[in-house]
Amino acid sequence: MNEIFMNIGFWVLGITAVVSSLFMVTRENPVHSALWMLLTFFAVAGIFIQLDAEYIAAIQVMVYAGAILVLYMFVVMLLNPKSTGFIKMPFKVVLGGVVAVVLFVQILMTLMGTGVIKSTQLGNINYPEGFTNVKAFGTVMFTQYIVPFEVASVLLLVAMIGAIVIAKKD
Amino acid sequence: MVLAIVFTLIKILIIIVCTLTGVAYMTYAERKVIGHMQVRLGPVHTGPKGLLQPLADGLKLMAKEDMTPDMVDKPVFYVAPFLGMVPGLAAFAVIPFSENIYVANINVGLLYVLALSSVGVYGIIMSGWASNSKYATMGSLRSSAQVISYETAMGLSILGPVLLAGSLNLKEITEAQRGLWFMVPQFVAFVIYSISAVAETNRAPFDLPEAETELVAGFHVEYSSMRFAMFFLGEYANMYVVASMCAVLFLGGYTGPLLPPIVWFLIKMLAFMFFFLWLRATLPRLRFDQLMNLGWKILIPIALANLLITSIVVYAIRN
Amino acid sequence: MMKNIFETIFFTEILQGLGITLKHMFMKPVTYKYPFEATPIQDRFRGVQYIKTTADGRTKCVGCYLCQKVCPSECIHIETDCGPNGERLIRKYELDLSRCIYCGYCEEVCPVDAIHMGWEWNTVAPTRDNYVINMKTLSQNYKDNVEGNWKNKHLKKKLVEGVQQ
Repeated sequence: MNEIFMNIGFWVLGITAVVSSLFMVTRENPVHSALWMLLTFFAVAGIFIQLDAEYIAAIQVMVYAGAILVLYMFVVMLLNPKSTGFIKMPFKVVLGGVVAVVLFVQILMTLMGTGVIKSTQLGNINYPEGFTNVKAFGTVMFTQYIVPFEVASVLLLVAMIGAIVIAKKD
Repeated sequence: MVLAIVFTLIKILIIIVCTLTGVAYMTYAERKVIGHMQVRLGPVHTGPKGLLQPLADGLKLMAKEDMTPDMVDKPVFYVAPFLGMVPGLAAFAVIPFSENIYVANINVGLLYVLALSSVGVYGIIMSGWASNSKYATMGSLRSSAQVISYETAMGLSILGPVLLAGSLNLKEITEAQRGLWFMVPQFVAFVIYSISAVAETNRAPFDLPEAETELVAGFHVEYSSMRFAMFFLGEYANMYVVASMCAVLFLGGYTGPLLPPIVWFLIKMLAFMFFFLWLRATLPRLRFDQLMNLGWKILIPIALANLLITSIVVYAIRN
Repeated sequence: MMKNIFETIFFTEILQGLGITLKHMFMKPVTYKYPFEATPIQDRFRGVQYIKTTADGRTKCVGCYLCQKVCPSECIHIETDCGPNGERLIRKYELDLSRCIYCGYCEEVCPVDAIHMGWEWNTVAPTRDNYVINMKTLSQNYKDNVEGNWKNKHLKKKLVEGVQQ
């Protein structure tokens, strides 16, 4: 019973994610694209919840939907770019398609190699007693992956300072 | 299984109905409280002491003509009011009103509420952009800038109680305050939270997105009838959410002597709601640059310093 | 300087403001629920005029035309005649309330203390016919205003009637 519900949920969320991301790419109006992207984020967050990764789901909505996409919208609204009419530029479309396919195949190969998608079932993660998703995430992040984490934060700091320097040039 | 689903649906229904009634009577309370603070009476004629005023307002809004201007972006225009209202109502799912009155007790309850409150800004942005009107656009631009800025300060101030409680679960945070409300050790965070909560819900003195004197009504100029009412429901539901979060994080949630837990929770929440109205009756609106200065140059550095000190103290005590 | 920093950190000024609004909340509201409740009228309020009468019921007005002359909106219209004993008779004394601006000059200029500004202000009517009032009405106004304890009873009764219409 539970499994059926989980499966229905997964298929609904998965199809929503794929369809809305397709819409996102094909809309001519950038604001509409951004809104379809919002729907994609929500669907992906739902899939994360199904995988017992509530923390990542919440952060996904908070950071991507709540902050980054809002900034996109902000810029798009301010600049109000006209429709680019990219359908009329076959060379760029072909080039972009080739790059996209190559990247997709590469991601697929990598995933196949690591065995993440070999289990076809939506498995719950069995946390030890008194060990929640947030705790597990923090433990891994600050012990095993502390170096990449710190490198990433330094990178972000550099980007932030760079942005301030550029903005304050006058 | 089916029984559990039905039971949950009933709980959701009860909470939504209570919230909407609360929202309706919050408008009444606002007019009454601000009226008395300005030595006026507020509504008195509709029903005893004007108590039926919210119903009359609701009926009026429903009976009005629903107009859609010609040049709007129709799908976005229609979706925006729902996006403004739904996150506010959805956030009530994780708030523990009492030891066993809640819809869901999830481990990342706090992040869930934060995520939903950050999504709430879409209703405002979309309505502003889709309205195709300069006042609406100005209002929504201001709002998005304001909400992004103050969300940072709010998130940083919330981390203080989270560090003390060692959990993101709202019920566990409440239980951790059995002895001492977090308002005492985290007073700085409490003040920052209060300020940014007011800014986050676009209430006076931070109600720049709908500054009547400059922008007519801000982002919902072009809306009428129930669509307009939905923005109001969303705004007031958001006020209830931040008030409940304040009660849970800083004022000990449902804990308290003598009275039943739910009563304690409601008292704390309504006290914070009263604070909203009190501020609106007292303070004039800030200028936009003052708002940004307050957010980025004062609140966020103080919140960061508070977070650093709290982490050090918690680390020292735990080890 | 120290005081300034203290005030900034603990925002004492905002707290003061909050205190004031809280204090006002417990004050008695100054609202009058107007159509249901009479508003107070000050003694020097200038309402619809009245003309005093002597004890035997004759008007105190001597028909000197001064009020007609001084009236800036030209709302007073007087016609006089010669009586049998050579005294002046007032044939007609008309006051157009739709023109009157309630400036009170007529009261100031009257040499015999006849015309006065009353307290009645509720002159609203569905037609224009009753706006021109004559000596009879003005004398009746004197009774209503001065003798009839107008401020308390009369007003309340009239107001409620007006609302019901």
